[in-house]
Amino acid sequence: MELEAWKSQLRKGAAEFAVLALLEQGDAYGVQILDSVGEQSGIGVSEGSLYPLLNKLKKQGRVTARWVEDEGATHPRKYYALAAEGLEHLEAMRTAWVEFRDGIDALLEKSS
Amino acid sequence: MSSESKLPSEATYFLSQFEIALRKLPSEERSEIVSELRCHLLEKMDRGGSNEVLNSLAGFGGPQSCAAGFVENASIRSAIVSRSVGSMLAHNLKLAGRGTRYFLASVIVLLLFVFAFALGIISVLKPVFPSQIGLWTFEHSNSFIFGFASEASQMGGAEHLGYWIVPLGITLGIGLFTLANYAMRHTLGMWLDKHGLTSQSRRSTS
Repeated sequence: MELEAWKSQLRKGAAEFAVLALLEQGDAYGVQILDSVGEQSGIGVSEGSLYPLLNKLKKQGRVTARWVEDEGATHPRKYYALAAEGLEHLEAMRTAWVEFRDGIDALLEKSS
Repeated sequence: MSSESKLPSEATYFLSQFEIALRKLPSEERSEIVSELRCHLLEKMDRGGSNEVLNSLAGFGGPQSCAAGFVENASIRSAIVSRSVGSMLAHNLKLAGRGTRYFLASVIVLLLFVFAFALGIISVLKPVFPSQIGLWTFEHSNSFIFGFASEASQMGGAEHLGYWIVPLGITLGIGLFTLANYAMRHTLGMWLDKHGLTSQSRRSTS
């Protein structure tokens, strides 16, 4: 149970990074973001955490949003796109992530 | 048939409760958030029917906990803008568990309010209990009492302020109350800044 709690904290910590990295690939709406992040990374982001996160990123100016009536869809979809500030923040997160990952890898190498 | 009527009753109920839980948000923002979740559920309905919708509802958690993620920071912002003492104090106390500096800030704010309140009480009671309220010093023990002391005179204490304690208490009380308000706004501003939700924090990358 403790391991699951730790993994849950890891996922929470990485959620923003994962969402911004996905939006760097192209615009996406909520369900698409959930599916793609799960498929590409194996990181499960819940609906309950995704939409408040997107709302916060929009208020921070890191993403923009627009409603689109897609052809064939029975309802409009709210597409998110990475803004310039979001790209800058993503780059900073990417650098920090590499440093963190390398640090942990170095530690694991010494301990194994 | 409206699009929402496609959804199972659990989803319709969730959305109505969710909208109520978002009532602290401006109506336009609230409407946008509810619409987005409604469209999410409709998408799930199109893809996999009621089962997919029910799975999504489980992922959202309850409507109140789902709304909490949207409401918290907006509520803090409106407390700062409205300068409502009660609202700001409630948010400060909620933030106390979020880190050492917020805890310390809450303690400082509470102490400032307690002292401000005490000074106000002293100022009001001085005309009612003139010989029992004041500032006494005691030569034999090198100590002092400030406030309400029923036996200070019998203990040989010398009272120094007289009725000057009234304007002094009122002035200090108002000063401490003002300082407490400033401390609360600063703490809440610190929280919003940390989450990149103020104009000064837009360049948060460092």
